[in-house]
Amino acid sequence: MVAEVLSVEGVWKGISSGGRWTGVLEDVSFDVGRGEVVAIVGRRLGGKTTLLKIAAGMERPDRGGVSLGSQRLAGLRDRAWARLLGHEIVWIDRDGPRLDMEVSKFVGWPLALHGRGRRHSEQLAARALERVGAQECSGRHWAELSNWQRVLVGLARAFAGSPRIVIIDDLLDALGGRDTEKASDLLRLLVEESEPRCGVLMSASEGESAIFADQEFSLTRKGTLKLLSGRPSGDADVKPFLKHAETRAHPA
Amino acid sequence: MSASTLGSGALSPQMMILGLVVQQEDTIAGVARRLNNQFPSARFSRTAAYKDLPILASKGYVRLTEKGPPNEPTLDRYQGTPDGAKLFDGWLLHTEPPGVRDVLQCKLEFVTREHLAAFIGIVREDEQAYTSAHDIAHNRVRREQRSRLARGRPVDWRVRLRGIQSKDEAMLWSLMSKRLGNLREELEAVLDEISNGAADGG
Repeated sequence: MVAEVLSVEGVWKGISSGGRWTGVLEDVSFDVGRGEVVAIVGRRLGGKTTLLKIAAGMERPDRGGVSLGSQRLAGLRDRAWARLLGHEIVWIDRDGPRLDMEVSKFVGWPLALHGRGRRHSEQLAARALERVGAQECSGRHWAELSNWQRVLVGLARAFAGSPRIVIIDDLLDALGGRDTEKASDLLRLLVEESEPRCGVLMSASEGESAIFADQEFSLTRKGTLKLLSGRPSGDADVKPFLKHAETRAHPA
Repeated sequence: MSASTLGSGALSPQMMILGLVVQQEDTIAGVARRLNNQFPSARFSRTAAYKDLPILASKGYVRLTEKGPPNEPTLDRYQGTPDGAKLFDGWLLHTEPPGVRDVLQCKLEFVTREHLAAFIGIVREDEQAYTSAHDIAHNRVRREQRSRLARGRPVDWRVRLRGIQSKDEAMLWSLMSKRLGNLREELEAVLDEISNGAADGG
């Protein structure tokens, strides 16, 4: 049994326009366990980012709730939540920093904000960049980085401290093929080396970056969540003709 | 041999059997087992290797290297010939657009209002089957990732190819599952509209 880091329970979210409510998320529930990578796949503008923002406490659901361990995010005051964001809850996306800054500052900023001190934060940022092999990006700006370097820098920022949950919005989608696999391998290593062991929640428009996740959910057009893989209950509903795919000879 | 059974765009059991024998000399029983294990979702006939290896031998694409015991033809051992290897390489490295015979596409042509609810049921069932197949392939990809990370050094090209094949398979089943999910949702919407009398366009 994996200890839960993040629980999303019965979340509903919609948009009201002209007196009409349109559902974006309908009764969405899932957990992210310690050391687990959970992926949400779905079409563009289909509600994935909304779901991730709710999971991070950046948006409030119309109904339902989110818990980080035993702490309910909805019950927190803004200041208490702000203390969690960037420290225990880390958000990274393909847009990078909202303010133009050097990569070293972008990586170290959350640490500095959470009381590590400027010099110590710089040291931790340098170490984090070196760990992912992106030390040469240190003095550069986000706009100057390739997609691959943005992924490395995003992961360095996410794992520079001791996050409980890392939320990655669409970042790995800009890659493809071998780079997706390399980034997924790096993410897995960072999760396994994290102390205490954190969880990862990520979104992807393409299924490719989600293939390496422990659980993969699809966000349907109706706004409901469908488990695609990683089901805990085995494969009871597998048709016989597909079931023996499991036995295909694939030596290690 | 006719182009319809060994054409470069077709996926016939004969071509797969030829490929397996070119890849590795084997008995009829061995080829039948590998055909079933390596291409499980293709659902080739269990008797395909038994029927097709003698045919391929008569055309000179494989040759009998060892006769099995009497009354045990499945232990006859075959090997690919240079002509067989040439034909197989031609299939491997050239292509033409294959015919796509998608069952649901064809069935949709014949679905009536009376069939709709039951048809949605079979789409849902297929969707679940592909989702489960994706789950199995996905787990294999994860196992391969764990093994790669535990090894901690670059793997050789054969392992890379297997990894790529596993990812491609997971993506294929995932796409099918999503496609059927979308199809089911759209059909359910039509059924709802019919039930509400809103889609009675005649």
